[in-house]
Amino acid sequence: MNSDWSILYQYRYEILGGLWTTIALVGLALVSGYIVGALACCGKLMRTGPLYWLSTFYINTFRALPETVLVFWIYFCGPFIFTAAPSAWQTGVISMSLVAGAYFAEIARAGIQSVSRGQWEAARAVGLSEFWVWIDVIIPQAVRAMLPSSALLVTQLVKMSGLVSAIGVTELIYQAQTLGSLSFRYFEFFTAVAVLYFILIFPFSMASRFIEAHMRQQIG
Amino acid sequence: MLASKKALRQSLPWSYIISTVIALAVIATVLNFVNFKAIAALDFTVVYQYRYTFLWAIGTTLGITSTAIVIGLIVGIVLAVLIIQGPRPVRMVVTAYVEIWRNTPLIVQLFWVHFAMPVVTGVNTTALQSGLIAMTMQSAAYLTDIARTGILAVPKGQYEAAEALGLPTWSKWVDIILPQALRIVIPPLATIAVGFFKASAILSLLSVGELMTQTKNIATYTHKPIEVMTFVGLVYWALGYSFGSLAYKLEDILGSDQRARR
Repeated sequence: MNSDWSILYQYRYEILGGLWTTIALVGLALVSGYIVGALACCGKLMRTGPLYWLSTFYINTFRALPETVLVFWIYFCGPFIFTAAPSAWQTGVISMSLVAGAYFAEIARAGIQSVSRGQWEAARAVGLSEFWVWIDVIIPQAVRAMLPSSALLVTQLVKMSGLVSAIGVTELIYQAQTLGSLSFRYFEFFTAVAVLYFILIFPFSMASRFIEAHMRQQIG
Repeated sequence: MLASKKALRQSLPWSYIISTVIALAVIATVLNFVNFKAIAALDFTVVYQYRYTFLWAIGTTLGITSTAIVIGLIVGIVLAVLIIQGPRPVRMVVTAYVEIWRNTPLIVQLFWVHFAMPVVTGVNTTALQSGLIAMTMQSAAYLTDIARTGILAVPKGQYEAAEALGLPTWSKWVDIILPQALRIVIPPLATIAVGFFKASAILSLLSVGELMTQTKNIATYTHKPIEVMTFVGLVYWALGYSFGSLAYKLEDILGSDQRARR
């Protein structure tokens, strides 16, 4: 087996460009996913009414659908069914945001429900208004409880971002495939990309584990 | 939870009015973009026409998923025992394997196995073989971790009792520890199985021949992507959902059984 790692240096700008696209995709999806997810979480907490039904439908659908199906559906069926035809990049952002929102809604709901009932009662007993009960008492505790699974959500999104290479978004995997077929150096490029993904994902999964262990220590 | 629900009801009927308006606005925005002529022209007979292809593809997907889970579980249990009992270098190697395969995307692993591994091993694999290898290796990594937590959750007294009875090591693991550990890990195992069922759609990027590959082929061949992909989305959803509920049932039954025994 002969490998030639200098080829990575030769194509460093393409690889770094792919890395940047991946990070931008994940970042955009996270931000819009948080917004959509917070809204869906509010709907889910209402327990009845149109917003509850809508957000339940949304969460159940997008958590159960495979991401591949979703990406292909939006890209290939979108132009027929909708009056707008999203580009590959837009498809990537839309599909990842929808998935992120659905997962984040469940994470936020679990976080808010993990705040014990005594906290609600105590906050009201002190005479806080409903608004300040949420802002000062419930949300800070809920956010703390949400941290481990939110970190895992980031890893999940980074893993999902590779899928949009199938519709031609020039992120890491797309670049590795193109450069690999160009130079027949698949081994070098895919190993490099795997290492880059590991560097992106590993800190978040470690952080999730550490926070969880830390919280368990505090409780126990 | 009850408290927040009551609070929302009591303090503001406003919140209900606002939420209804938001929900209607979202639905209206989506409907505004829908091209109703295209929906009226949908023709779902194409699904019936290709029913055997679909059935065969669903079977392939289920086969790939169950193979990956079963082999992964066996390998995972062995690796978990190695992590717990093995000598230090072995433990480090196994941990490195688990971390690497858990912290990289399946797509990268798939392409790595298909394109890069032949350079190392000199053996070319078909797309189906590559898909199976990648899925199995990833599921082994995930299941190692799950099996480890399951084994560690078995109370220490069980180990001591097995040793006090003078059982040989093999019998201690196979008859005493592993059955109890497996019962503990059934819920996370089911979650992982559903996750891998969903993830198997990724294999279509290599045209492995499972459900999503055939979907793309049929959609391109018949020029009816909406009908075919919507149907397949429903199939994935229904299968994943029923697996999930089955897992919850199983968890309920086993959970109550355990509680009764305690």
